[in-house]
Amino acid sequence: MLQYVRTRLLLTIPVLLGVSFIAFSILHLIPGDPATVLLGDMGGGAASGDMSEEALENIRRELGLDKPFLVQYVIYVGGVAQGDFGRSFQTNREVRGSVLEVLPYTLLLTVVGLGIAIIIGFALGIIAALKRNTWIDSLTMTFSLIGLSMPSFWLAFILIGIFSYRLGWLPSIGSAGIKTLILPSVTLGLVASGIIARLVRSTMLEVMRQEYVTTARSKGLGERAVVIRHALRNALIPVVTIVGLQFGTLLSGAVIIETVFARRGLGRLAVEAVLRRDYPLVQGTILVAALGYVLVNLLVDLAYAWIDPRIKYE
Amino acid sequence: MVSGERLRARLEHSHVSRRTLLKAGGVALALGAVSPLLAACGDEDDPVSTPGPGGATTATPDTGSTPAPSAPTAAGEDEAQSGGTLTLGYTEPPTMDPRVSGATIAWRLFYNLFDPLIAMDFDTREYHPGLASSWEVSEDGMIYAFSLRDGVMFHDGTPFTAEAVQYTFDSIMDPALLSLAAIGYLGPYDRSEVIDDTTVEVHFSEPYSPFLNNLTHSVLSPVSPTAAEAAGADFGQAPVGTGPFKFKEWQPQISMTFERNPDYAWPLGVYRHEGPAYIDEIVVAFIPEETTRFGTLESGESLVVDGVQPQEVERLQADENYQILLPAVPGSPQILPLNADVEPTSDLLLRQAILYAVDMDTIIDTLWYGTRKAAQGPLSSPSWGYNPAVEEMYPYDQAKAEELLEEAGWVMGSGDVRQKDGNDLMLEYITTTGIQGQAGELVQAYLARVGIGVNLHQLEYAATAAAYLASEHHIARIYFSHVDPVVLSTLYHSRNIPGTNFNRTMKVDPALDEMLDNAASELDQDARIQQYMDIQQYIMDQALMIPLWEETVFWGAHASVKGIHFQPLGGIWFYDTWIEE
Repeated sequence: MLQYVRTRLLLTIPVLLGVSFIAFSILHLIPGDPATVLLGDMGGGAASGDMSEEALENIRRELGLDKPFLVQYVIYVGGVAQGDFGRSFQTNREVRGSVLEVLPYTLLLTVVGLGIAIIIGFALGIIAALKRNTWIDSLTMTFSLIGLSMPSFWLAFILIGIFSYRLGWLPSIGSAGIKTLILPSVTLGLVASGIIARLVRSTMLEVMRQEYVTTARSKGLGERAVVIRHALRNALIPVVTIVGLQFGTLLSGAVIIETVFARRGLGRLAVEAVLRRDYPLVQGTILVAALGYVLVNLLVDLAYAWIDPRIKYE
Repeated sequence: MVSGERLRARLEHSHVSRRTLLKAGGVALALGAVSPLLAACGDEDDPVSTPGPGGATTATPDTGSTPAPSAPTAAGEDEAQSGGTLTLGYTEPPTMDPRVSGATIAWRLFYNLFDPLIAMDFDTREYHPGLASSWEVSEDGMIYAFSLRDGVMFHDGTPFTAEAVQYTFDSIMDPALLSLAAIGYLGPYDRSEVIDDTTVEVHFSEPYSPFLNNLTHSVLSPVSPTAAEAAGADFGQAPVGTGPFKFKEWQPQISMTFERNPDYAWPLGVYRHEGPAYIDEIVVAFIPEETTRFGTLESGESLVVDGVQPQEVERLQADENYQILLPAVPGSPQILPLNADVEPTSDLLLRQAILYAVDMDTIIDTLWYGTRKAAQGPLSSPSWGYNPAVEEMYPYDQAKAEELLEEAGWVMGSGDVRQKDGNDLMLEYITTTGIQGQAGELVQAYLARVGIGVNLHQLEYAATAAAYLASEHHIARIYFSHVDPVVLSTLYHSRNIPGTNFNRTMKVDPALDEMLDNAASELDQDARIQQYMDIQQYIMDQALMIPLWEETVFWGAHASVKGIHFQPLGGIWFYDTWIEE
C-alpha cells in the first residue's frame, strides 16, 4: 500500500512537467505579448506615454522574454526545481507567496462546495431511486437537471439578489468568516450536485436489483439498513469516481465564483494572470491546480480499496 | 473674495509676471480661463521677473487671486465632520509604486498617498502649487527649476528635499525599475541637479513643453528615497509618500487600507481645507465583477463605488440617498483608428465616407443610456487645447457617405457590399469584447447600410494588441487618458507605430510628425495651443479614426459622502471628502 502511494506520488513529477510544458507552450502560442499588455491598461486605455522602442525592448529583456521559447522554459523549470517560481510580471511579487496566500481560501471553498454537492446529490439520488417513477422522482431529477444546466454566475447573482440585497442576511462579497463562505459554496455545491444525484440514482437502482439486496431483505433487515449498509456502499464506487472528477469541475467553477463574490482564491488569480499574460503567475496557479487534481485522484483510488475490500494495491 | 488659503498662497508666490507666465509655460489654461487669469496677474502691484537658469524668467502658479470653481465656501468647511471609515468598492491595482504603475485605477489612488509637484484643477485645468511652490522654465525649454515646499515629511519621517525629487526621477529612468507610464511622462529627461534642499533643476536633452502638465499626473509624484531604497522591488507593496493618507496594509484580492496622515500640513493648492484629512481610514475593497461592485453600494457594503452601470444611472440620480458623479477624462477619447497603410482604408475618400456613415450619437444613446458624450475629434472636450471646430466636421450623413464611396469608385453590385475592380469592400474590425464589441456590432450595422462590409472580431485585450501590431486591422480601437495634448504624439506619431504600437493608423506621415514634434517643444502656450488645434483639424481632415465616446469615470456614492471634487483624471480627492453622520 505505502509502496503504491510512493510510486503514485513519484509519478506526479512527470505529470506536472508535462502539464507545465503544455501550459507554457499554449501561453506562447496564443496571441498577446506580455510586454505590450503591461503597457496597456486593461480598462481599455493605454498606459505609457511616448515610450520608445528601446524602453519596450528593455521590458522584454528584464522579463526574460527576449530569449528563445525553450530556453525560457528550461530557466523556468530550473527555478522551480530550486523552489523559485519567479515573480509576477504585473505585481512583481513572488509567485510562490501569491499562490500560497490564496490557496487555503480556494481549498476551503471547493471542499465545502463538494461537501454540499455530495449531501444534496446523495439525498436526491437516494430519494429518487427509492421512489422511482413517482412524482418525487420526476421532481428531484428535474431539479438535478436544472442544477446541471444552470450557469454558476447566473445562480450566484440570483442568490446575491435574494440573500444579500433583498433579505440582507448574508454579505455579497468578502473572504473572512463563515458568513462569506455560505453563498459561494452553496452556488458551487448546487451546480455540482445535479450530476451526483443522477449518478447515485442510476447506480442505486442497479444495485437494488442485485441478489444480495434481496438476500438482505429476506434476512428480515429493515429497509434503512438494506439501503445504507448494503446498497449504498456498493453503489459508491462509480459515484466516488465522479466526485473525484467533480473536484476538477469545482476548481474551474471557483474561477467564476471567486470573481463574482470578490472572494480571495486561486481561480481569480489564474484568470487575471491569463488575461494579463502574466506567464510566471499562470504557471504557478496551473501547477498548483494540477497537483491538487493529481492528489485527489490518488485519494479516489485509495478510497476504492476502503469501499470495496476486494480491491487491493500492491 | 480671498480666503485664508488663497492669501497664504499669494504671499508664498510674490513673483508674478504676465509676460513670463505665458512665455514660460507656467500655466495650463483652457482657453476660457485666459482672461480671468490675466486679470489676476494684472492685479499684482509690482510684477517682477526673476532671472533663472540660463537667463530664464520666473513663472508662478496662478493661485494669486483667480476666482476658481474650487474656491472653498466657508460654510462647507464649518460643516465638515472628522472621522469615519470610507469604504470604496474598487478593483485591485497591480502595484502601488507610482513610478512603475501603468494602471489608471492605481493612478487615482496614488494621490491619496503621494503629492504631485504641481496640482491641476479639474474644472479650469489651471496649475496650483503642490510640493513645488513655484517653478521656472529656461528660455530654451530644456531646464525646469522648482522651488520646493519646506517642512514636508514623508510618512517614514524622511524629510522631503530636492534629493527626493532627483531620486524619484532618476529611479524612473533606471531600466531595472521597469517603469510603465512615468518613464513616458518624463520625456527626454536627462538629469536632475540639486541646487539646495528646496531647489531642484530638471534638465532635458531637448525642449519639452508637456512637462508641467505631466507633473500634475500622480505617476511623477516624489517617493521616499529611504523607503524605496530599502524596499527595492517590494516598494509597490509598501508605498511611502508625503500624501494626506498613509499606506496601512494590503491584503491581496481582499482590500487595501490607507489611514489619515496626522502630520499633513502641506495641502495642494486645489484642496479646500488645511490640516489633516477628515476621514480616519479609506478601505479600498477589491471587487472584480462590476455587477457585484455596484451591488455593494446599495447593500451598504461600500460608501463609494467606481463603476456604476449606465443602465442604473438614471434610477440612482432620482434617488436622494445616492449621488452619481460622472467626471469626463481628458486626453484621447475612445477612438477607432483607421489603418491608413493598407487597402482599402488607405483611401481618404473611403475613410471620410466611414465617418459620415456612422451615427455615433444614436450608438451611444443605445449603449450608454445617454450617460456619455459622443467624441468628435482626437481630444476629448475637457482636454487642454481642445479644438471645438472639429465638432461640425462629420455629421451623420448617409447620402454624403454614399456619394464619397461612388467618387472613390466603390459601386453597388448585385450583392449587399460595394465592389471595385471585382473586389468586395470588406473591412476587418478588431476590437475587445463587452461594450466595445457591442459598439462594433452597431458600427457594423451602420456601415452595412452604405454597402461597406465588416468582419467584426471580438478578442480579449492581449490578442487585439497582437493583431494591431501585425497590421491585421482596418478598424482598431484605443483610448488614452492624458493631462497634456502630447497624447496626440503617442497616438499619431509614426515613431509609435512599431514598439508600443499606440499609433494604430499605421501610416508614416512626415507632415503630421513634424507638426507633432513642433507642438511638443513649443514653449509659447498660445502658439502651442494653436498648433494642437491645427493638428486636431489635420487628423480629422485625414479621417484617421472614428471618434467613439469621451471616457467618464462612473462614481456612485451615498448621499452622506460630502466634499467630493476631482483629480485631473477624474479620481476623487479623498483629502477633502468627509462622511456625514
